[in-house]
Amino acid sequence: MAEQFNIASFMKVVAERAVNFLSDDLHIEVHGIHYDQEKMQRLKLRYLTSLLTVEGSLRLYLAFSFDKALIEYAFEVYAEDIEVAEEERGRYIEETAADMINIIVGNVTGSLPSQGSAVSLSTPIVISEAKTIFRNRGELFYTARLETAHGQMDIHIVGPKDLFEDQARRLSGSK
Amino acid sequence: MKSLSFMLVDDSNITIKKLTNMIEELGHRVIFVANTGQHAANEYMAVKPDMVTMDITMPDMDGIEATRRIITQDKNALIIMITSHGQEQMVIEAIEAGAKGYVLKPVNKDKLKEHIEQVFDKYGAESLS
Repeated sequence: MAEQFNIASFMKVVAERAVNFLSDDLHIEVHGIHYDQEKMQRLKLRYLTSLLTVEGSLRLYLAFSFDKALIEYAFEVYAEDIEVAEEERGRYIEETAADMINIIVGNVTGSLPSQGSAVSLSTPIVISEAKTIFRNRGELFYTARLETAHGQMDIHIVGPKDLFEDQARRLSGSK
Repeated sequence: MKSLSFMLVDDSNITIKKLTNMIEELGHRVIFVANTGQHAANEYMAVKPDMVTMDITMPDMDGIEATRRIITQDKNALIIMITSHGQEQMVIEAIEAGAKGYVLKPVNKDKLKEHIEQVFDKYGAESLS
């Protein structure tokens, strides 16, 4: 049930898993996390963005938005043990962004309310170049910004407004 | 252990390439790759691999449903779920569908080797007899 779900806590779990994945699997250290509840009508995305939907007893949209240098470096490390032809590089960089959101969000689905049924994830989609997401009435954006030596990565959660109110304020601030 | 033949089912080309490298380094062979659950379920009996690695979140048919369909064709199929999905309820659904193992992504060679050996030791005799 929505009232049992704490969006701020969930964002913290997602952000912490992202920090660990970046560090353990991609050797990218995160030196700052900033949480923010966006009150804007639109959200500006970075160079490359992967998105998926989480659906269980509630529906959330998540987006990971990467600076160009960061996702390119992540790809170099993530795919270092496989051969990628130069003409396929762009597609594999997009796939790296898709795999990252799938792995990180998938790993934390256990922290979502399920009411005894499985939480499902959609297959990720990837948006290239900076675009803008407009929010619907009744929805809010909640963001965690991860800072690395290779650039920034934003984690956005879009969900019903009533999930955000009061709860999100508890996490406002910086690491 | 003997060299096994594998069918890999995943919609991520990077994951397929990484898994192929690991499986070959472990002395096994990848004989078929499917990017969707539907493709895997359709081709399983023709390919008849010793073992299947199966993602869960895929377009057109998810890995749980594909596992169910493969098990209806071959009740002894050795299917290991390799997925990012860490929710306990999903593990239960996968096992109920007929999966013999469950590995959480990101996967590495040691983790994969351990699960392949566990599944083979427990179920390999009846499946490959």
